[in-house]
Formats: sequence, structure tokens, C-alpha cells
Amino acid sequence: MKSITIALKDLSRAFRSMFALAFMFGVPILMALLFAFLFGGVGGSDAEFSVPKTTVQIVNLDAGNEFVPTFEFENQSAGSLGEMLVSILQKENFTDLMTLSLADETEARSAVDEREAGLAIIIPADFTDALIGMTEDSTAIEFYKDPELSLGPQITESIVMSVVDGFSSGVISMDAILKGLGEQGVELSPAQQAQLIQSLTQEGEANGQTQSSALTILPPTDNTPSEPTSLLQTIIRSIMGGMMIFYAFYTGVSAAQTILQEQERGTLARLFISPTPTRTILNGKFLAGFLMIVVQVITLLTFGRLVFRVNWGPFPSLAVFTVGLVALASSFGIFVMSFVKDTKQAGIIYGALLTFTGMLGISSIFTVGTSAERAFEFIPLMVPQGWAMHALQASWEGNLISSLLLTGGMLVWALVFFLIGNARFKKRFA
Amino acid sequence: MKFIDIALKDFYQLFKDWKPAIFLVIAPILFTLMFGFMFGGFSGPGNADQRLPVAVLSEEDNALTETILTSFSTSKVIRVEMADNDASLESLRQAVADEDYAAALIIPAGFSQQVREKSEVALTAVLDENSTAGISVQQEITTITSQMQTAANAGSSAAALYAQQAGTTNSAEMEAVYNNAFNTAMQAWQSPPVTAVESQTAPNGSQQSGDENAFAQSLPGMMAQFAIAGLMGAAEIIIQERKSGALDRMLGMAVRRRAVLAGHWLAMFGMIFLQFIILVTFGQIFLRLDFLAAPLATLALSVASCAFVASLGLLIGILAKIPEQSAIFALIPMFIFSGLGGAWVPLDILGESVQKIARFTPVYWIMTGFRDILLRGAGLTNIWPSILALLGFSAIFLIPAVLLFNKK
Repeated sequence: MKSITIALKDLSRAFRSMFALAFMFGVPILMALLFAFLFGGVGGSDAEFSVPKTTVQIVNLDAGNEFVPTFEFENQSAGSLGEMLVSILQKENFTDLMTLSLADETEARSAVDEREAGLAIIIPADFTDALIGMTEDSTAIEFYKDPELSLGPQITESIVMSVVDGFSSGVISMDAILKGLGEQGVELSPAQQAQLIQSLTQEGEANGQTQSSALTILPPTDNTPSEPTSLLQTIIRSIMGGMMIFYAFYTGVSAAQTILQEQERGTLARLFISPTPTRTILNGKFLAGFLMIVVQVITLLTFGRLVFRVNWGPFPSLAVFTVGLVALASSFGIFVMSFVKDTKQAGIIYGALLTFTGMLGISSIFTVGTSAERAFEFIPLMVPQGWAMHALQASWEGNLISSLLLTGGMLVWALVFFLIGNARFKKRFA
Repeated sequence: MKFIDIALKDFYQLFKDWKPAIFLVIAPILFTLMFGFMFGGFSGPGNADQRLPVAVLSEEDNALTETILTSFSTSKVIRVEMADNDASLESLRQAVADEDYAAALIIPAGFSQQVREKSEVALTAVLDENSTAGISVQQEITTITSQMQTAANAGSSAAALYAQQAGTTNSAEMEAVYNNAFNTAMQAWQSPPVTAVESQTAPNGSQQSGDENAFAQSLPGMMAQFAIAGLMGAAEIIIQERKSGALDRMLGMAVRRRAVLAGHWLAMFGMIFLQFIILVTFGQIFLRLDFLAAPLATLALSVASCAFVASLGLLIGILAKIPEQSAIFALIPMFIFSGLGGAWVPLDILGESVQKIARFTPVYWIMTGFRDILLRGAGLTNIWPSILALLGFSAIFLIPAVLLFNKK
């Protein structure tokens, strides 16, 4: 019972410390709120992650072609394909992605240089000629972009090129058809060719916008959560999960640090001369760390669930992960602090070791979708935080077997840490 | 010049052991490399294949499947890895779930027949539509299937026109026309009539094609973030001075209050400025960030940034009652200013409302100034709004610090 009394005393001290509370709950929650704000806006139409809107200045240098004076599309007509491209981009379905205005080339470049526009699109003079097969060489649309913008210009370029591909499909189809017929000795008259290119261009323009194909998309696994998870919730789940793991290890180290603090204040020595076995005192200290992390993890999981509707995965996987994390973070604290001489040295542990291992362990959440993603599947497993992050990911993916295996790994780490840390502390205070 | 003596004393206290170096130099460098890596800082010519791996299972093998595989294999976005013939849909889904592949693509049995008869390019893709990798792969597959769709339509149109023009229904001849038109169209997509060319204003003012250096985002971001983080230790000196009675002793020895404040401010300024010098040098030498293209602008912006951070540190030191509080008072603005100011992710990928609010954070102006220098080749005349804003923030934190210190 003395162990429990010591643990409760430590707990009460910890929960009265603003510093401890800030690291246990404040910072992880602040980070989650911050990311929710960053990626979710401030409510209203911004309440869900949205693609940034780009201010675009478009320069139409297209001279058209004298043989094809007009292009008909959707009850409109245009004198050139450049004009048609501008009209299509000005349609309502693109207004959420870009604000488009016409300009001359110097103005457009200057607007980008002056940060008044994020992107200048320069349609070349031979645009129509290239698209109706009147030139031997290909031509190029120039995308002159603000070097400080990353996503918006890329998305706009992708949209423009999908429309242009629709146009290109006309001349590509035309050439292919003429070649196919020519091989069999059939040739179309100029009038037939003009009619054909008109219909193919219109067909291609329609396809370029709809991008419809018979592509069936299947999710990677059937173990998808029973409730839908939005992109924003996915981001918050990753950030909050990562922060929870990061700071659970802080709590573990901080809890174990109280042994050193009591030693320096002399209160530990007083405890040792009381009729309480050293083992009981140390077990009380270890138990305090364990309970602090239990409270921290359960609070943060519940907060994420209630405030952000985060789906942490099925209860069995989550429970298994929680047990593993609590055991691992508390034993890691004991292990680390058993090597530290005094609280002055402990500063380096907070500053360097925990920051480095913590960031490495949760790095997989920052590398999703990047070229580094595969490398960061395994590198984080070099540190205990990486095992915890993988186990949490297995939990929210609903993969109980992976969750069990990873938690097994965490418990092995925890056992090794505890045995070494416990042995060193007992030896130190023997 | 008592304030200089106080500053030197603070400096000695700060650097008498090497721990502050962790927050001031090592951590920002590590985080710069990590964030830079995430935003593609090491991807350049000569590096390993960075394309997203996609497992492809072809349930039939003929000229048409070979054609589409050739198109996928020349993609700049995806890297085709053929799955074993005995692979099942479930095993591929599991492989994607396990992140062995960014996606899996199945060319189903009957694919060629469907292309020929219905001009429909029917494929099955296993991917996560909520992930960046999944979205990228889906877009690339859609582009390539659209191209094949065009080719199939061209083949069908050519065969129909042939039947009409030649007045024949000879299936062998029609198939030859179809194949010829189809293959010609697929080949033509390798060099389409209109391509895209990207250009941007280069730092030297010329307009040229170029890639953004990912470290131009991550290094200024981490410089700003860890400059504020470094205040944890610096502000603690002011608290310890007050708690230990050293402040009372100094004031009792006719040291003016403003000299005490100026000394502490100068020490913090010096500490952060030293950090900036080390990190700018690191960026210049190892990360190909050309700070020295505009040395005066870099110097002025660094001075303004350090003035803001030192003023914030002074306020924290005066507000905090115990050392632990100084850590919290430093961490909270660090997270808020860094997150909202664009130190972690480029602001342009965030919502419009966030971009507007960001302007009210000092880190935004540090980021804007340094990114202007590094990406646009801006000089002192271009970045004065950032310098003015940072000096303004410096005043916003310094004035209450002075008032509170005098009041206490």
C-alpha cells in the first residue's frame, strides 16, 4: 500500500504543476487545434480542407488559323482554340480553384513578379495551328509562376493541361484516322477533314473536362472504419496521435525524474531511512509514471474523439495500443533516468534525446504521400516511439493482428527498459 | 556601459555549458533537414527513382495490354512494378494497405475486348483516395486511360469511316484500319502537339525554368521557431536574477533599471543573432540557399527578426514568476506564431482566412522576408515591409515589458 501512497503523492504533485499539465495536455491539444484551424479554416465554407485558390492572369497570343475561322462549343463560338481555352477556364466549375483575368504578356509577368497573381498562363501564337495539325513541331503553353507558391499553380496547370489534352486528342485522332485510312488507300476530302477535326475537337474538349473513364476505385482494405473519415480528420488524427505519443514519453521521463529531484532535495534519503523497503519506494515512483501516462493518454484519446470526432479504430486494437504505450513510455522514462546523474543532466534528455527520438518516431505522419514515405516506414522503428506510432496506425486502420504484433514489440522494449532501469536504480540506492 | 556588462554576464551564463546549442543550432538543423526532405529537398537529378510504386496485375497478355503498360512505364509520376501472376485482388489490397505500394492497378480479363468493342478503357485501381499518393496515382491513371480512350475512339472512327468510304464490311481490313489508327494515336501521345513549360522569376531577376529549393521554406521556418524556443533558457536568467535577489542588489548599486533591461535584451539579441549567423552560413554552404545574393537584406532582416525575438524574451522573463512558466510562455507563442506564420507548411496551401490571420504574426514576416530573398532575389528595397513589421512587433513586446518591469 505504501507504493500506492507514494504514487498518489507524485500524481497529486504532477497534476498541480502547470508545467507538467502543459506538456501532458496543453501542447498536444494546442497542436491539434492549431492544425484543425490551419487546414480547416475558421468555419463556414472553410470548415473542410479545401484546395487553395490561385489568382491567374491569362495571355492569349493565339493567332488562330485562317482555314478554321470559328470553333463551336456549347452554343458558343470562338475564333481560335486559345479563345476557346480561355472561355472554358472562365466557366463556373473552375471559379473555386482560380480567379482568372485576361492580360497582355508584360502585365501578366509583372503581376506575378509583384505578387498580384500567382500564375501567368501564356498561350502561344501557334496554339491553334499546333492543335489542328498545321505545324510540324509541337508548341508549348508557358506557366509563369510565383516561386513562393507551391500547390495552387500546380493544380491550375494540371487543369489547363487536361483541357488542352482534350483539344490535342482532336488532332491526334485526326492524324491517326487519316493514317489508318491511308494505309488502306482511302483518303478524305478537305471538306470531310475540316468537318472531322471540328467534331473531334469538340468531342475531345468535352472529354477533357469530364475526364470520365471506366476506372473502378477500390479502397486498400475492407477494414475501413464504419464511419467516414474526412481528410481534415485524418490530418488531425495523425497530428494528435503523434503528439500524444511524443508527449507521453515526456511524461514518462518527467515522472522518473522525480526520483532525482527527491534525491537532490534529500527527501528520498528520508524515505530510505523510514521502515519502507527501497523496492517499495521505487515501485511507487514507477507506478506514478504509469498512472500519469494512463490519465494523459485516455484524456487525449477522449478529447480527440469528442472534439474532432477522430476515429481511433476499434476498441480492442485501441486498448491494446494504449496498454503498450503506457508500459513503453513509463519504462522508457525509468531506463533513461537511471543513466542520469542529476536534474541538470536531465535537461539534455528533454532537449536532445526525447526531441530526436520523438520526432524520428512520429516522422511517418509527416512523410505520407512524399517520396520519403517508404523509407520512413522502417526508419522510425529504430526508436520506441516509432513502434508506438505504427501500433496506433494499425489501430485506426482496424488491423488487430498488426496492432497485436506491434504492441508485442512495444512490450518487449518496455520489459527490457524496465529491467535495465530498475536494476540500475536499485543498485544506485542499495 | 553597465548594460554591456550585464549582457556579457548573461552571455556567460547562457553559454557556460553546451546545452543551449541543442535548441539554438542542432535542433533547427535537424528539423530543417527533415522538413526539407518532406518537401522534396533532396530530390534532384541523379537521385534514386522517386516515382510512386504501383503494382500492376494484368489478367490478360496481348498487344493492347502491352501498349497500356508501355504508357504507364513511361510515366513521370508512377513506377510500374509487375505483380506475380498468382497475386489476387485481396493480396494487392493488403499490399497497398501495408503501404508496400502507393496503389495497385488491375487490367482485368476482357480488357482488350471492351476497348475494341465499346471503346471503354475499364481498369480497377486499389488506392486510398484520401492520401496525396493515392490522389496523384489516380490522376495519372485517369490521364493515361483518357489517352487510350482517345486512341480507341480514333480506331473505331477510322474503321467506321473506312466501312463508309470503301463500302465494305471486311472485318480483317477494318481491324487493320482500327489497329493502325489506334497505334498511331498512342504513339502520338508520347509527343503531344501542345506541352507545358514552367518558368519563374529566378533570384537574379531573370526569367528561367527552375525548381524551388525546399529548404527555402524549412530553414527560415526553423530559424524562426527555434529562435523563440531558445528563449526558454534566456528568459530563465531574468527570473533567477529576480528570485535570487541579484536584481535588488544591482538596483541598490545605482544600476539603472533601463540598463538592466537593455543588458538582458542585448544578451538575448546576441544569442539569437549568433544562431541566425550559424544557420544562414549552414544554409549558404550546405543547402544551396543564396542568402549572400542580398547580404544587406539578409543582415537587416536578421537584425529585425532578432529584435522581435529578444523583445518577446524580455517580456516572458518579466511575466514569468518561476522558470517553468518561462518554458510555457515561450512554447505557446512558438507554436502559435510558427504554425500560423507558415514556418511548418507553406501558407499558400492553407485556407484564405488563415493566410489573412498569418499577417498578424511576426513569423509570417520573417518567412516572407527570407523567402523573398531566397526565391525572388529580393533586396533591401523589396523587403522593407517585413523589416518594418518585425520592428513593430518588437515594439509591441518591448513596451509592455518595460512598463511591467518599472511597475514591479
